Amino acid sequence: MPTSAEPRFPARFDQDTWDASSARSTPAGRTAAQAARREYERDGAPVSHLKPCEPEGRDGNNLENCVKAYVPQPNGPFGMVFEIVKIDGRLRLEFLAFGVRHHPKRSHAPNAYDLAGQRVAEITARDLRGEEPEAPG
Amino acid sequence: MSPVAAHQQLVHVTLSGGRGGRFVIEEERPDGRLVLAPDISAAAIRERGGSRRLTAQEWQDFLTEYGPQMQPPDGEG
Repeated sequence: MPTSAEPRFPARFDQDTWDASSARSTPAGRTAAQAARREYERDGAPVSHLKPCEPEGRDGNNLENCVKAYVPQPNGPFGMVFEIVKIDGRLRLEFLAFGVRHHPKRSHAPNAYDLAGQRVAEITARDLRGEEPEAPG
Repeated sequence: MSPVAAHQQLVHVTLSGGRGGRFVIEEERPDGRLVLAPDISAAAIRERGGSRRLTAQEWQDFLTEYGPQMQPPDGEG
């Protein structure tokens, strides 16, 4: 539970990126994501919600300068990934991706970290089997 | 090749006018028509937001100052 004294970081949600993430989400995922977005835009994201991403994650994603928050807190099945950036000398969270943290083992659908990794790497993985809504893990 | 392992380098374009901004070419049809999608790369997001990437030193400074108050890394990604 965040305390009133703990640092919070302003968060920006790029609308095009948000729309792309929402389009992939289930209704439950969208609801959870919207609640987190509302809180982070209104009050900032408390530092205690954040975890540093692995520069070289186990799935091979390179999420340098990135942090994540589980959604909903404290241990929800979804993840929101942000890049820490600077604007006018101050730190800010730039929203990169939202999605499930883990898919079922046989699923090849990208999770939140895969989506963020694609955006950081500026390449896109196209699922040639067609777009399927993702299922929460 | 696995269907989901088909990665491609995208071609970026910038439009001006009523629907200006950075886009990527998602599809090039045989008749020459292009299907565009908003560019949601991290670089384009930063550009739209007027922010900049942290240097390696700034990232280390961030971790030094705030890392102890964050949750520990989980090894997920």
